[in-house]
Amino acid sequence: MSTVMLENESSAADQDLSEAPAIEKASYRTVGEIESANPIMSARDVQVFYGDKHAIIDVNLDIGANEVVAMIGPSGCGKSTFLRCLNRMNDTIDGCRVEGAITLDGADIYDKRMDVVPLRARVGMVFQKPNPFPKSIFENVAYGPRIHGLARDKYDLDEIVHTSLEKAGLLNEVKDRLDSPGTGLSGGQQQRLCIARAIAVSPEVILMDEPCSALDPIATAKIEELIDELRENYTIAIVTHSMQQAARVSQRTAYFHLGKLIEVGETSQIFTNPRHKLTEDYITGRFG
Amino acid sequence: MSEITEGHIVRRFDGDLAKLHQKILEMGGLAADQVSRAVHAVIQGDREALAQVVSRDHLINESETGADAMVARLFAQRQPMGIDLRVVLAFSKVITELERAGDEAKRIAELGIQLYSPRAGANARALLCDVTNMGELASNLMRLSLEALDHLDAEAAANVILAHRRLDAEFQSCFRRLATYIMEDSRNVGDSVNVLLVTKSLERIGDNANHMAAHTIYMVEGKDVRHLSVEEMDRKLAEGPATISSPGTR
Repeated sequence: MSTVMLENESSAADQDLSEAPAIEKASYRTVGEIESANPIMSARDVQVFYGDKHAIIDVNLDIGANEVVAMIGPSGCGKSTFLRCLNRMNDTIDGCRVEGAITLDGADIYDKRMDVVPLRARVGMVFQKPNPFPKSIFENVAYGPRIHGLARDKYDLDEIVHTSLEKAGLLNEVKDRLDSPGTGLSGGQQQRLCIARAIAVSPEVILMDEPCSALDPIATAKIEELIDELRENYTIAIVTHSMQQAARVSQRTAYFHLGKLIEVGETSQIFTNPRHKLTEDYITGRFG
Repeated sequence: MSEITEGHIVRRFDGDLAKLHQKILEMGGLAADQVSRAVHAVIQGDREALAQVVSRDHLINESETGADAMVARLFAQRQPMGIDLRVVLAFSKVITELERAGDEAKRIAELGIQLYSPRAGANARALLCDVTNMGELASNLMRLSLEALDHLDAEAAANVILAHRRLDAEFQSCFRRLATYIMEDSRNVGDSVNVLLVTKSLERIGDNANHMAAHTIYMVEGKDVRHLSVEEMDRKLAEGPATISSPGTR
């Protein structure tokens, strides 16, 4: 099992953690089908620690090709932490330790030989708040392909930028002002610009961490429509606080609670007939 | 109101569901009353009571529109999920079943008025002996189904589905007897057909009670037992509860 820090590897950090209170591991089983017929990413026995806090406990989940997987759960349940494990965004957090195996197309993304820069191109990310670079709309999209060497020449780069903006449903709104600053767009447009930026480097998977929470209902509807269209070419994992959004955009839904993946299943089943009481209490608004 | 529909953080949601449940039970009481009044009046030959059943049908129709509006408001305001979604969906279907049962009661009353008209044949009253047993069965099924709905009791609802078979068997038996009357004497055709239509309405009321019971099971257990044989239903219900409260261990 490859991990960021192997479980049996003796290190100072491990020594410190070994003195932390024992946290019950592997004491539960996720309800529902964790496996996918055609998995692009697979997480097995994933544990995440922030110092001595056990944030993710023994999570197993496949993310299948061309599907949208929604991750829901109350604040602090670990859904965003798990999402960030999928492209090693947690590497940047001091004291964060990931155990277990996460594979992309069968290759362990926590393998020491795995370069995180191309990994994050293959597994792109869209954040809660739109975060365009303080550059032009064109440059926002062109930046990724340029640093990854995906464009042979200027025409090729133009083509990538236009195609990405079109796929993100933004081209018609900005084609006459590609030199304008990305930060001058509306919130919804900025978020679609961020999606175009992620698409520009031809990812296989797009991770979305509450991508609509800062947007109005119309901008949200456009992003949701976009997610549905993007599913044809990409695999999407989305963290959302809106259960209606999870119900609308995803094919599978995973419910997290206190760091555990409690239940995963077809979205229609989760929202009409959840099998676990905790899932039911959450989706029916009986606790938050 | 059952704990199934309580415990929301937004307590007004509990109140909304309780009000809808109450409204449906009131509508159910009205429908069950119409059915038993129609059956009783048709057996007794009480034309005045039959006319009253016909004139009271609008009360059920008004109840239906009121309850439907509550359902629409609940969907719009609360966007129910999980068991709440099943409860509101099932309540909505129960409203339709009750309205249809009310329509059948009205039809029975209208047929009764014809059977006791001066133009009816001499045998009309004799033919109605079949209605007594079926009427009692249908009224009972309606009452038991409403009780299961009142307590959101899936087991009681499953018993209604089981008991419904007796009404079906009784209807087949009535059908054969009435067909024999028609074959014996063609002058019996008009009255026999009217009595047959009364029994058919009773059979439909049994179906309404049966469907309501299936909706109750769906909301409580999350299992759709419509269109299943009793044996298949038993197997499905034995598969275990819809939700589990603690994860299993590895």
